[in-house]
Amino acid sequence: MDDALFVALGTILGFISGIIPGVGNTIMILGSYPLLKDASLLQMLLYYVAIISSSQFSGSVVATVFGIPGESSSLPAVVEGNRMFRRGAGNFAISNAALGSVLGAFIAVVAVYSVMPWAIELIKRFYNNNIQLVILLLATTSICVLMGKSIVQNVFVFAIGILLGMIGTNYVPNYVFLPQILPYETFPLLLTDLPLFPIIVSLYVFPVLLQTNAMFNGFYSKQKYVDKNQFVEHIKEFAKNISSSLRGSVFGCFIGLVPHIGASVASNLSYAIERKFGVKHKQYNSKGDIKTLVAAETANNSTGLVGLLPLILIGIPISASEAMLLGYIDINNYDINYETTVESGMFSTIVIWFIVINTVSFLLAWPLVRYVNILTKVNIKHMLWGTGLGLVTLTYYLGVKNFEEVYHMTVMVCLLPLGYWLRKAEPMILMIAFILQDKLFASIHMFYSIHFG
Amino acid sequence: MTTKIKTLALSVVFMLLTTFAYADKPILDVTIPSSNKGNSWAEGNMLSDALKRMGYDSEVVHTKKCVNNKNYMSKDTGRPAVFVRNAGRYVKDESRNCKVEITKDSFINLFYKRHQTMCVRADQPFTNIADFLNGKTRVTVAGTHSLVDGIYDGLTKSTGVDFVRVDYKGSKNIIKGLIAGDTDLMYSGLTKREIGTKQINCFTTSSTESVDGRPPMSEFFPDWHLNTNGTLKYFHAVNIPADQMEKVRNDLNNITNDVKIKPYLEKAFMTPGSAIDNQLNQFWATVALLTGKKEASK
Repeated sequence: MDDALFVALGTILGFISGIIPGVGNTIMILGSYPLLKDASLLQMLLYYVAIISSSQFSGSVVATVFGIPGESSSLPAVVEGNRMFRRGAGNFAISNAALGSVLGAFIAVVAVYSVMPWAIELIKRFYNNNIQLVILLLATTSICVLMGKSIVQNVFVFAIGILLGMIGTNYVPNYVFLPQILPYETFPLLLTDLPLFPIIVSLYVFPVLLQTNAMFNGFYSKQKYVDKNQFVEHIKEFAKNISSSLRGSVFGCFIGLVPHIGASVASNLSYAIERKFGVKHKQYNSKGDIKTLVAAETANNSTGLVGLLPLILIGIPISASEAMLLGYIDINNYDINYETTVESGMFSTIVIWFIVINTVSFLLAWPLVRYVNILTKVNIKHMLWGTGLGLVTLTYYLGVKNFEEVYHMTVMVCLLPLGYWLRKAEPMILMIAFILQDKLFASIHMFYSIHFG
Repeated sequence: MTTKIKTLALSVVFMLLTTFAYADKPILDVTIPSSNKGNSWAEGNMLSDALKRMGYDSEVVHTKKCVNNKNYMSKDTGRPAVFVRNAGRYVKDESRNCKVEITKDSFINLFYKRHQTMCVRADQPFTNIADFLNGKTRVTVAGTHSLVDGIYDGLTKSTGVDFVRVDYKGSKNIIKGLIAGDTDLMYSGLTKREIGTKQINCFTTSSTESVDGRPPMSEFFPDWHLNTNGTLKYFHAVNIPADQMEKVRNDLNNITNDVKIKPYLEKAFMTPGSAIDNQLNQFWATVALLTGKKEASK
């Protein structure tokens, strides 16, 4: 019953996170700390899966109606879905994207179960420190290469994340970072590392809110959502586009494993190929094309479960929201690897719930979409800054719980100028670097000891 | 309406009763200033459960590192606590400049003495140490980062083979590292896990006698000064009021008879602290051995 409660809450909050563009799943997970602090590993994973799955449904609705992407993977929905919406076919855009998402999720389940035995055998046989180091280096360097606009800037942001992670006392390797420069004697709490929560609020949430706020400048929508078609008509329409949906699933299942940008690449690549195919066969509708939209949305949802595999099998996150979840898993003292997730039978429970979540999200999204017009009356900017204020309060609360409220708040305030600068960069890179620094350095040190020590 | 009021009144009475019942319990938390993946974590939870069975209100507080633990000790949490630390960790903490002083008041008593063990992968044929070292110029040894500096120097000197330490976070990861092929050997405490993991062969212990068919380490490495050095763990007091200390000391002395802790110690051939005389002196003697000093610093 407890598990069902986490699924229900995750589904509801996922819907909300999809509706608030730019805030997204990472910030929703971050704000969920009071809920997750006593949760079991299964409940944390179920909650996460519920959020990422249900937000896909509401995210594509907002992208279609308002033409604003919740995430980069929603861009095809913005382009094609919004064009369809403006020509009065928004209801078909939303229904077909939702049906494609459900199909994509189910195909992902089949794909994951097909590769699982092979993946576990591979890990059992070959997963030593050398391999671990290669995966960590691939995961960390790929974000510098694949994301954002400038590799140089990304490397700089990554380095800041690493440096912040190094502050304090480190055990593997054994060192205190810059003891001559950093004021450890004046502020002895610095020896205990920088606290995760204030870092994320200042250096991830704050810049993301600034970025999203800028996106809403001058935004205004007049057109209302209308749906006069029957359920059967929507299904018939989807049947015409099912081949596009299947192609999208294949892309999603394969590309979902690409670190950090899997969902975005799968969605956009699927869209680009479907569009090229449509143009070539003169089927592409330049006033909003449903086939390209369905392909992209299906690919997007297929990556949801596939992208979770590195985290549940070897404990390495490949997205910002997974990194955040891993932070909480560490705080709650859980081990996450194939032994604790797959061999314990937990993963099968997650998959069953994943199917339920997607089905329920689909069934809920359809009736709820009629109320999307209410959003035109809501001041999104106020919602964004209310979210920010809530997270600042949460930072203080967590500080009080650790008897370190002054330290938590000081760290948060001191890092805000850096957060302000990060609005022009990719704050997610910094966050992943900060969270993985410990693992990365330990692995490098062990590699050195094993081969050259 | 009357039924509702009655229900409400009963609920309030019940809440008050349970609150007072809870408040009457003496508090003794267990802080864990180390990784949450290894033996210390498991032991901390086991101790907390045992304290609950003894009538304490006990929680586990994971403080992660010595510096964090020291910081936690300096706070007025209103909750007395203990943490378990071994002699090796004490030496290592001191070398890292994280000094948590041991006095007659902060040293409650010994929890246990545990043997150290050396293991190889079970799929590697191991007959004797000479064959194992034959042809090797270096041997990598997995261990926790809390082992004292220069621990294998004596081994390198006596065998002529370079024993290289590879530090892991948490004792659980040491076994994983050995099985995965990262290292040639592992050096760790002999626990149920080392005994029960089929993929590894723990071929010796630091005991002076054979333990469950495992010959003493002194037979393999007669010149190594740590060949009989086991792990000596003690309870360190954190903000325990003086008037409660005697009770805590007695209870922790008896905790090795707990229904869960007793078999835990027996299965891994550990000696309960209550069976060891001159506990504080024993502790300093071990510290002296680890630091190579004739007498320990205290």
